[in-house]
This record gives sequence, structure tokens and C-alpha cells, in this order.
Amino acid sequence: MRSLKYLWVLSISAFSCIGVDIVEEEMFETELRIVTEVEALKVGETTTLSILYFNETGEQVVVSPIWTSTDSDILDVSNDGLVTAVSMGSAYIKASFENLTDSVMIAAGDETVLTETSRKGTFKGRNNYTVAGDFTLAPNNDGDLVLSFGSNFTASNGPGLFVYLSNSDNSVSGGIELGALKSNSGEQSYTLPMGTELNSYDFVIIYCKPFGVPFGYGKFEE
Amino acid sequence: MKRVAVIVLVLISVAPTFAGGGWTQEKGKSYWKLGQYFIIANNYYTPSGDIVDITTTGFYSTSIYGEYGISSKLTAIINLPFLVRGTLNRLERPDGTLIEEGDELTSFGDVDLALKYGLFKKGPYVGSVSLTLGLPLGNPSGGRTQLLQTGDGEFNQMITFDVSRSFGKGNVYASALMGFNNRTENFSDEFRYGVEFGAKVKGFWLINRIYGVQSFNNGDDTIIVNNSIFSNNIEYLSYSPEIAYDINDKFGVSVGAGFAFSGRRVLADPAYSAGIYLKL
Repeated sequence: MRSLKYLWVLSISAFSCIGVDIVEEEMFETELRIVTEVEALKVGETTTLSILYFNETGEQVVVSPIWTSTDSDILDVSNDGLVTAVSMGSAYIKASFENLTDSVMIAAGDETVLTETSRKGTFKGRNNYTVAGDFTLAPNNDGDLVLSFGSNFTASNGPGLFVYLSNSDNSVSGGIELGALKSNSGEQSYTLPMGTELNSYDFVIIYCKPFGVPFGYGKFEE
Repeated sequence: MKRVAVIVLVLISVAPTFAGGGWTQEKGKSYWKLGQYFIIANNYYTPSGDIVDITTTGFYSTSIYGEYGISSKLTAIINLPFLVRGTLNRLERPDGTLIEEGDELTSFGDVDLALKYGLFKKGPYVGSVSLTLGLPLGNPSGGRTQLLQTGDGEFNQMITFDVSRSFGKGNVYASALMGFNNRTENFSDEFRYGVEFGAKVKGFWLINRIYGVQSFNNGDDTIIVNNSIFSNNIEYLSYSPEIAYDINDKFGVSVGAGFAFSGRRVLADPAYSAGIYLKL
């Protein structure tokens, strides 16, 4: 019976509890980006510009900017971003929100020229984890944006690996989760949620979600 | 004997890794230890050897370790982690909103069975060889996330050579070991090595261990298995001091800690152990 008093050792395994980790939000520079589907617009036609606004925590937030044109005789823009090519030439369309401004130059001419409709990049490993291969982001036949990994994709095995889009190469704060990594190698694809634009995020991250460790990332080429 | 601790969540061994060094039990004699081991870590050695922050994870193992002298040269050894628990902390923002639920798993652990054979006994020197079989009786994938483990799901076989020497009246000793751990299921094999020094001072055994694990990196960590990267290609070099006190001829207690100097794919926080042992 004397040894029973030492059975306290059992209590550590039996009654250890789940603790709480407080995660400080990573702070980002606020950012405003104009999204355009055209590089040039045929005189007489219109296109609607939109904006992406990211707050201090990197989250995308819907805001209403002020739209202006540097030459409304060439490109006219309405309060909701509808651009009309009035005459031949080129001009900058500006969007302003609080102290942020972004602008794009659009030509007005004989034909409409669309911007790139896809983006691509290549993975790199972090912390000596293997993450390699190519990826592309492009709309599918239904118009949904789809992130596709190439057949050369490979990643170290890890617990709870997820795919994220982010504006940081080392953090998923403010980014969006596309789902659990489907396979550690080979082709696979992830459909982006509605409302996500082609240029919303600059990085794809392979992230060990339960332990909070990035295994690798890829930057979209400019 | 600390296979569960080392493999399951790459914990730094703080228990009697040397399992008696080169000495075997006398025929009919035995040694039993009820031990508790735990580590709570939010630092992790990445494969490149850098330390990064991770979600706090806990690992707790209550085990019975035993040695029994089948003959003066042959000792049977068992390590039975009968209550093993892993936890993963809940993640919250500073305002208390939930980011990710925590997780927990409690089950049986992997069991080690070993035979140690005395190779020689010459003056103060003794040497032995051991064959340890790691039985995958723990849970390699559990909890809500299916990410927590109390076992690695693979059957391994380890050969270990131990050499020890006592000094004076036996109140000081030194041991060294090296071993080869053959692992299955695409896990890399391992080379293990270590030295241990012990001295009895005023009734207390003061024990210092240096223990290392080096991976042969001949597994494949891109193959999807239930186990995580936390259990393959691990490497570390650790220092584990321990204090043991013989309450009487039969009973004793011990406490210890383990610190990793360096590592790859291992938790980087100290591990602790305590136990009560019985010599029959």
C-alpha cells in the first residue's frame, strides 16, 4: 500500500487537458488593387473595373472607392467603375479609398485586348521540407477559377497539410483556405471560392494547419 | 526502451535509455519501474534544424518498464506504455474567437519487447547485445483530426551493443551504446548512440546521459502513410540528467529531464520524467 502514494504519476497522463494558444494576427500594409479584364478597349465599348481592398489583417474587405480618369475625353469612368472608351488614345483610371490609390492605364483604340486570364508559378520548399512543381490559376469552362498543380508536383508528407492562397509567402493570415492537400504528388486541382479574383493573392502556400508550419510556397509570376 | 517517446512525437528521451547499460540481471532477479513521461512543446526543429513556433502539443506517457533475469546472461525486457495521451491546443484570436479547435487522443502505446544477452564480463567491464522488437500496438492516427498518435504503426527491430564499466566500489559507472534500428513501412532506419555517467553521492544517483539518433534517410517521406513527418527521418542529440534515490533496498524514485542540443523533425522543448522503481 505504501507505493500507492506514487500513483500520482498516472494522473498526469489521464487528466492532462487541451490548452489554448492565443494567435496574434499578422499585420499587413493596407492595399488597394484595381482588377481589369482589358488592356485596351474598343472605342464605344465599355468594361467594368473592380477593386480588391485588403485591411490590416490581410483580409479582403468590400469597399466603395472613388473612380476618376486622367482624361475623360478618352476614357470616361462612372462612380461604380464602368469605363467607356470615348475616343482614341490612352488614359489612367484611378481608384481611391481613404489614403490608398491604385491606377491602371487602358488604351482606347480599334479593338478590345483582354488581359491575361491565367497565372502560374513554381513551388519552393521551406525549412528543408520538399515542396516542388508548377501550378496555374485559370478559369475552367464554367467560369470558376481553378488552381491546378502540375504532374511534377511533390510535397513532403506531413500532418494536416492544406492549400492556401495568401499575400504572404510565410503566413496564411488573411489568406483563404482551398482545402486539404489531396495528394503529396501529381496533378490535382482546387476550385476557388466565388468572389476571388485572379489577382487577389500573390502566393500559394502548402501549410501544416494543425501545427501552424508552412512547408512551402509558390509566388505567382508577374 | 523509449521508442514510443522517440518515434511517436519525436520526443527527447529522458527515461533509462540505457536500460542497465552492459549489465544483465542476475537469474531470477528483476527491476520494475512505473514511470511518467511528458513534454509540452510549442517549438519544433524543422528538417533544416531551425527552430520554429508550432501549435502547442502535449505528449504524456505512463508506462511500466521491467527487466527479468532469465539466466545470468539473458535478461528479458518489456516497456509497456499502457496510458498514452496526446493533445493539441485550441487556437484563438486575442478577442477569444476560435481559429481552430484543439484535439486529444488517449490510448495504449507501442510496446517494446527485448532480450539482452551478456557478451562478456571481465573485471569491471561488461558488455551485452540486445534485440528490441517494437510492437505497433499504439494508435498511429487518432483524435478529431486523425493527426495525433500514440504509436507509429510500424514494426521495428533494433540491435544494440552496450559496454559498461564500474569504478571503485561500484558507486561510479560509465556506459556507452550504439545501435541500429531497422524500421518498416517506408520509415528510415536509424543509428543510435550514447554515453552515460553515473555516480552515487550521499544516497543519490546522479546520472548524465548524452543520446543521439541519426537517420539513414533511406525511407520515403513523400509516400502517404498514416504517420506524420514527425515520425520519420528524425534526428537529435540530447542531454538528459536524472536523479535517482534508493528509499530502501527495494524501492527508489527518480526524476529526469531531457534537452535537445540540436535536432531535425523533433520537438525542441524539454521533456520531463518521474518514476518509482522496485528491485526484486
